[in-house]
This record gives sequence, structure tokens and C-alpha cells, in this order.
Amino acid sequence: MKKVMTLGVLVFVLIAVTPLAWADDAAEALMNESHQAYYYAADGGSARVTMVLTDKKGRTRNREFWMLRRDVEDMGDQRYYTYFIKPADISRTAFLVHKNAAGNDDRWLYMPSLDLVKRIAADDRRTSFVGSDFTYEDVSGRLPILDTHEIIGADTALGRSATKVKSTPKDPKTADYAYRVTWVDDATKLSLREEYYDKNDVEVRLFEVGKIETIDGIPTAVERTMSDLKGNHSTTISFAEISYAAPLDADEFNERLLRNAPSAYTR
Amino acid sequence: MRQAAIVLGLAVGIGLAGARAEAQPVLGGFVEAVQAIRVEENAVWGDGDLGARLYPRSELRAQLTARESRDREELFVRVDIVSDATGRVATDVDLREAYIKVRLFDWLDIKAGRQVATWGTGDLIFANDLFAKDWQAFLTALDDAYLKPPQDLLRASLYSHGLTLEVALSPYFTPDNLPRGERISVYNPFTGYAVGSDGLPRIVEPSHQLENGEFFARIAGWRGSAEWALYGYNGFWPTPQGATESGILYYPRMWSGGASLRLPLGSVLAHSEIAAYISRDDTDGDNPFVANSQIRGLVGAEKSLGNDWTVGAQYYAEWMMNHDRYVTSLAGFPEGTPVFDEVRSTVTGRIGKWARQQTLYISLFGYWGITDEDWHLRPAVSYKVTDAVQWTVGGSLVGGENPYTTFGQFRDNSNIFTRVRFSF
Repeated sequence: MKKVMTLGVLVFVLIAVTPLAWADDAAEALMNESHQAYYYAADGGSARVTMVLTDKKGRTRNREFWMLRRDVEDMGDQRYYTYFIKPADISRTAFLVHKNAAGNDDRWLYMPSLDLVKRIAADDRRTSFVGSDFTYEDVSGRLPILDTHEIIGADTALGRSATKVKSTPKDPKTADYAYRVTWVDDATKLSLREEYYDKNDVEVRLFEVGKIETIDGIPTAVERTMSDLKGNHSTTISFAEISYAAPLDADEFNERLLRNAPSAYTR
Repeated sequence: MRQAAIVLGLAVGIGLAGARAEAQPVLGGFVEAVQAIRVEENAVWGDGDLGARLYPRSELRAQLTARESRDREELFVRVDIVSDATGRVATDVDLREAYIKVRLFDWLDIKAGRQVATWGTGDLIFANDLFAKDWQAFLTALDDAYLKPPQDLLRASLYSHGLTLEVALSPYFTPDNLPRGERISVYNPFTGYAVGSDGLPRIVEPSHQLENGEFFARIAGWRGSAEWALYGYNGFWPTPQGATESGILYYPRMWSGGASLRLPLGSVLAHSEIAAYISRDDTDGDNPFVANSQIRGLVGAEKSLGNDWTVGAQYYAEWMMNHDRYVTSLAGFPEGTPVFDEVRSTVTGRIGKWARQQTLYISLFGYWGITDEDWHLRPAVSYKVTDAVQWTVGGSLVGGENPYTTFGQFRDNSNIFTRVRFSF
């Protein structure tokens, strides 16, 4: 009898504990998969990007730029190159980022009117990218290892079935929010929707994918919107002329590229 | 020469526009109104006309750019048309860039024609960058980009084994554009007074001959996140630091060699440079009428404080290599002749903040000459009213204990300004 009870307790404990442990592992694996699909698809690529920034009065500002990416290794270091076309006053300006997964990114700006390659001091990745609602972290990705993840249910987003994952930063100092909830597309593993909450459980920021297209066999979120729910402004980013043929080698993301934009990516 | 350059530029521009039927150059530019107002009295214009007395700069400026690029070539033209309202300067067509850039081989780029060139690591302080500067533009209300005037250069960039070797040649010498008294007063070292354009000493430039050309070189590489570079230059002192016995200022010959290093140290971005300026017309350093050889050094750091705040600081020093002989050579000069220190040092500071979704930029840059006891402050607020319209209000404030130092020579010329630019 005692043995049976012990066994019962053991079974109960196993049943109670295992799904939790599972959930964590499964959640982390899912977020890793999602991160890979979203930020590290193929070995790199290029796209002509349009950004529409809408302020709280509904006025809009536009940015147009080419963005080139090359991965040094999956889920690791990356190289990014941005060539601005609009607005007119920053056209021909180029921006180079060596994303270092292990530490601060290295960043350079090329200012054509001075022929100046200016290196930019390391910044925390939460600062805005070109004044938009997307931060550098949103553009180049927040590594899943920085957060703990938990599957909290199933739902739909963008008319697709999705798994909801709650992610909490391990170090609160690395984020401006207390936790976020991500809708991970069951089919493509792309993030479809992300809600960011502050410590009072108030939603402060919202990310939504507007459109998914399959390019070169790779499902791609070609339209994405980030809304600042407190400041009441938002940014929609659209990708066109997407290619997953890696445009350059990683070691070509250098000063020569900054000073000499490849002609294919300048109009 | 200037006319020829303009004609050449227009020819390149027209060729660029019409070279191929399918060619569609990317066009752009801006129209800008600039108005600067003096904030202190200047005796030089005490009884001059109002325009000269009040406005160091008042102008409408239009800039047009055209760019045509193909696989391996790029043609680029940038022209400024300036209409001056102060009555001192005639309407001007300023061909700022007209170059062709060709990727000749996978390891070689050539950029030929009129262009702007910059290298080195300093923030508005230059040790190894000996390309020309336009200090007049810098001190009178124009955008910082005008600090670099164009030069006619043949520039070759070689890339191999992760190294970059650049060589630039100019068939003639382009001096710095210093204020010449028409917009802000300058110090006449012979009379010891600040003067306008009337009282300027005569300045002679080297004639446009090949033997008076300039040579610039740089070799640069990486080690992890650190960038290093070595530099060389052969040409002239960029400002007229030589004087003849008959009281004419000229540009003595000079060559230079140096190095720079730029790397992140934790969250701080650090940079440093060192350069030797060897005065070829006074290698012994015993001629008081020609600049002494110098060692120039610079260390600086920049840090982002988060929330779109950036701060930076630099320390810069010039060491006169033959100071003893220089002092000895001054024996017999009249009492009160300025004697320059062996080491002149300057610190700079910068603080900048982006606000309102990066449409508003507030910044302050300052120089403080520790040895020279002079200073220059550059406050500015810039607002992007729309994507096309930028409004800037700023100041160029300058002062010093003595009228013959770097910034002291421009004292009594502090001005504030406003610029409105429409870009297209």
C-alpha cells in the first residue's frame, strides 16, 4: 500500500512537473526556430525597404533604403548594410553594422557630402532606428537566449493558427518592457504578432505582421507594423524586390562598401 | 582655372544626362536660405553699410546633384548656385563635385575629378587629414558639410588581404579657405590689427604647376574591432604660415607622416592620431618667418548615454619641434612680438541629443584653447519640419585673449544664424 502510494505520488509529481519542463524546452526551441526563420533566413539577402512613420496627429514621414544582410553564422554574428534613397537630405548616406552576438555592435555611417566615414559609439539596441518605432534590436533581432519562454496557449493571428509564447527578459535591464507575448505561426514559425507589456500588465507596444509572401521558397513577413501605444505613433515597414541570394561575402561589408554603394542597390 | 572647371563639370553633367538613351541619372538637391547676424560689434565695420555691419552671410543657395551609375562606373556632379544679399560677393556658381568613379579591377577603384575627401578619426580636429578645409564656411553659418571644399584629385584605392591602400594626387595645391575679411574680420600679423578685406596682407599661392601638386596616401586595416591607419602627405602648409621680408604671406612646403587608431573600449569609442609636420622650408626651425616643424597628437572618446544622448571629448596638442631655435631666432624682434609656446593644447567637447522621433537634434560643440586662451562654441538646434524641410538655428561664437591665436584672430565676429533648407 505504501509502495503504491509512493508510486502514485511519483506519478503525480511526474505528470505535474513534466509538462512544465517540456513547456519551457518546447517554448525555447520554438522561439529559436522563430528567430532563425525571421532573422537568419538563408545566408543573407537584400530588399528595398519602405518605411512609413505616422505620428500621433496622423502626419507621415517616409524612408526608403536598400538593406543588405549577410550572416557570418546562424544565430550568431551578422553584417548589415543600408543605403538610403529617401528622404532627399540623407540620400546616398550609407550605414554599416557588424552585429556581434556576443557584445556591442560595431557601426559606421558614411556621409557623402563630407566623404566621411564616421564610426558611431556603441549604443544600447533599444534606440530607435532612423527615428522609427523599430529599434535596432527589432531590426536585427533579440537573441532568444536573453529571455525565458513559456507557451501559454493556442490562438490565431493574421488568420493563421499560432502558438502564444510569453517571453520574460532574464535581466530586466536589457529591455524596456516587463514581458512580451508572441504569436508564432504554426506553419512558418514566423512571429505574427507581439504584444509588449510593462510591469503593471499594461500593453505599451504592439508588433503586427500585415502580409506574408513566399520568396525563393522562404516565407517572409513583407509588411510589418510597430505601434507605440503610449506615444500613439507607429511605423510600417514594407519589403520589396526581396532576394535571398547573398549579395556579398561577409568580409565585403567594409569601408569600401560604405564609400562605394553597389549600383544595383542605389535606386 | 575656375571657369575651365565649371565648363568641365557641365560637360560631364551633360554627358552624364545624355550618354545613353536609357540612362536615367538620379537627380536631387536643395534650396536653402541662410541668414547670419552678428551678436557683437566689430570695429572693422563700425561705419560700413548695414549689410556688411550686421550680416556675415545672407544668401540663397541652390544645390543640384546628378548621379548616374552602372555596374562598375559612377558619374556624379554637384553644383551650388549662390545668390548673395550682403552685396559683397557676386552670384557664384560653385562646382563642388564632378567625378567619375570606376571599379577597374576587383582590387582597384579609381575616382577622378573634382571631389571632397576626408580621412582620419578626429571630430572637427584634423591631424592626418590634410585635404583642404573651408574655415570661412565653418565660421559663418553654413552646414558642417561645407567645412570640406572640393579638390581636383586623382584617387586610387587598392584593396588586398584586408588592407586598403589609397593614393590621391592633385595637379596643384588647394589651400584652406580662410576668412579674408569680407565676411568676418581677420588679424593682420604685420600691423597687429583686425582688418576687413581692405587691410589684408598679400597672400601668394603656389602657381598651378605640377611641381606644386599635392600627394596624399593612406594605408588602413583592421584588427578585430580596431581600425588602424598610416598616412603620408607631401605639399604645403594648409594656411599661409610663411612670410617674406617684404611682408607677403605664402604657403611654405611641408610633408607629413602619421598614424591613427580607432577602437571601442567597452561602451566608449576611442580614437587617437599622431602626425609629424615637417616644414621643408625651415627644417632647422631657426627661421622665424616660416612655420616650425611640429608633432600633432590627438586623443578622443565618444559615448552614447542612451535615450539618444551622445557625448564626446578630445584632447589635441601641437608640439613645436625646434622651439629653442625659434625663440633664439626671435632675438632682435620688437618688444611685444607674440612668442608661441612649445606645446599648444586644445580640448573639445560635444553633446548631442535627438528628440521627437529623431526629427529634432540639439547639439553643442566647443573648442577651448588651453594654451592660446581662446574658444569657439557651436550650438545648434535642427528640426525636420517635414521630410523635405529642415530648419536650423545656431551660433558660431568665438573669442580669445589675444588677437593672433587660432580662434582669437576671429574674435568680435560671433554670429547667430538660421537656415531653412528644402531638399528634393
